[in-house]
Amino acid sequence: MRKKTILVIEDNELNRKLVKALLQRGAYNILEAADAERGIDLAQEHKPDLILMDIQLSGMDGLSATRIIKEDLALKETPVVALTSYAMEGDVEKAKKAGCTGYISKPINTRNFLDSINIYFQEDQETKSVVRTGAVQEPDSDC
Amino acid sequence: MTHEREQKSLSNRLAERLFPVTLAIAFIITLVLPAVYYYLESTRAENEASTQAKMLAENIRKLAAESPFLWKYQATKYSQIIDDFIPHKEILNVSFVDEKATAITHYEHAVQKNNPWNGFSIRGRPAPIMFNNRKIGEISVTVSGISIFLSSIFAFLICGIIGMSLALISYRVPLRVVSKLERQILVYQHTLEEKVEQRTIALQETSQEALLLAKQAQAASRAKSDFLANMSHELRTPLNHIIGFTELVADQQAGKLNEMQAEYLGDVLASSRHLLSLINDILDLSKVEAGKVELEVGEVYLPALLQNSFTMIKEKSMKRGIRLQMEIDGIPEQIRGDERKLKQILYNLLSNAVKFTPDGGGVTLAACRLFFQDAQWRSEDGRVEPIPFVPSAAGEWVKISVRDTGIGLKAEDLERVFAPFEQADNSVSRKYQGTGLGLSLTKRLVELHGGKIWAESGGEGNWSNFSFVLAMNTGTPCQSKEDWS
Repeated sequence: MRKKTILVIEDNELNRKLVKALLQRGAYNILEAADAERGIDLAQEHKPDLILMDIQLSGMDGLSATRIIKEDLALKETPVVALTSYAMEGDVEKAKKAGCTGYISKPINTRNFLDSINIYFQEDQETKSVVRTGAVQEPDSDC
Repeated sequence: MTHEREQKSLSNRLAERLFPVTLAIAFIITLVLPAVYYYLESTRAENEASTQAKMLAENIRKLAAESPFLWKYQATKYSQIIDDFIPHKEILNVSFVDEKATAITHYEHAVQKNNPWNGFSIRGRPAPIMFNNRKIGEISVTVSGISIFLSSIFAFLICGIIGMSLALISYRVPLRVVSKLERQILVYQHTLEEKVEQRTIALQETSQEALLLAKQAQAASRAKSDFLANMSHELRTPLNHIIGFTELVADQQAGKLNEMQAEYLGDVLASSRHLLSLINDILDLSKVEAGKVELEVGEVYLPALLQNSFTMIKEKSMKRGIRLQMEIDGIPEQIRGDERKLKQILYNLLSNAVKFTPDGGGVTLAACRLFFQDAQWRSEDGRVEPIPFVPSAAGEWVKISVRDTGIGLKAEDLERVFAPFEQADNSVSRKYQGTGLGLSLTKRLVELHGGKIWAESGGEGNWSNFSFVLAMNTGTPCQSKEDWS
């Protein structure tokens, strides 16, 4: 089986680095883009198996980028997983409308990140249906 | 203006009433008074003429008594008697007739004879001349009425002037007074209107100012919230990197660690996570305080919600040997509420309970149905429940309690624990580590649902019980969120 290719579109360098560090453990080909335009170019050029899209990109935002990618016939079936931050709960709905397949909320849980990613591949191959997933997020609290 | 018209019609009405009255006054004074005067004067003149006729008749009777048969022929004698009256200017004529009314003589005043005003004459009552109880003649005197007539005319003129003046005065004066009052009322009305207008303008200005202030306050509040949202995003991004990379290293993804390195990295992780939860709580609380948090009300499956809430604390409690128990018999299947926020409330209370319960203790989650009616809370079997909260209307409620065998609370801390940044005491906060915001956030979330939360305790070292009540029907239905499917 060939190595899967994942495109990470994320403008924060350290976030990119962390995602890359986590993905490297899963033996994926990793493509990186620091902005939406470069991300779209890379997607059209390499036809990745999955796209991780930061929603809050500076410049063109992740939602617009997702819409453009989804309009490309060659990329129509490629799952786009939104990276949404905890503070922006409303973005989940918007992301879905823009064509995202699912979302992973930030902060990234390093311990189940790969499992979350894998679900999209399996679903994509077996049922072609979209799924809802996310790093398990507990509301944190103290007295 | 209606008022003005009413006032005008008042003076018009007064004028209508006054007119006949003044007309009557003018009539009485101008006509009736002179007429009465004329009548009285002419009666007096008539009586005088009658008296003179009587006197003449007496004198002639005396003449007749002297010579009963001849007196008719003694013309000089009775002429002499009559002539004595002549200087009396008022007398126009004297007529002397016999018993058969045949004129014996007729005297006319020479001066008055050709007076064209002789038409105004007054004839006195005729006086009979009696002799031996037999009427032998009759005398009547006619006097001039001209002076009476003229003085009556004069009186009429004078009275006319007086009457008209009086009528005019009695008509004009009340009207003038009333219309003056009217004008004053109008002026008063006008100033009143002006005052009202001024007040209204002032009020409008004030309310505009208030609106402006409110807008400014809203803008400030929004700016504060936006700032907090941005700020916490800015704070969290690097913190998430710290946590992420530390996790990577601590999980030995970047090479083996010795024991001490692993321990210290564990401390770094614990502190970072604590810092993150602080930031999250501050953001949540400030959002609630700024009124930014709205309930997304929908149907909530209560048993599932309660059961799932245990899974969130299962790991921690198992590690510390804390028993978890649930008493949820007879609770309603569904209530209306914001599921996410209810989850957060339960998680906060449960994780607190676990945190403050010594190893080997127990935490119980209990729920029951309550009814509020006639200012009393009753459970399903009719027992009166002591709930420290009075809702505005009767209805069905759910009480959810989290009880622990933990460290307990002092009586004076039962209220204080819900205030921001308050833990029962500082030594507790040092030992148990917390933001001190969890319970105040929980309280706000319960209150957003229209409910009430309170704490009870058996005292220090004993059990604690945090309970809250929720109305079964909170809020209005809202669009349920679509699922990712």
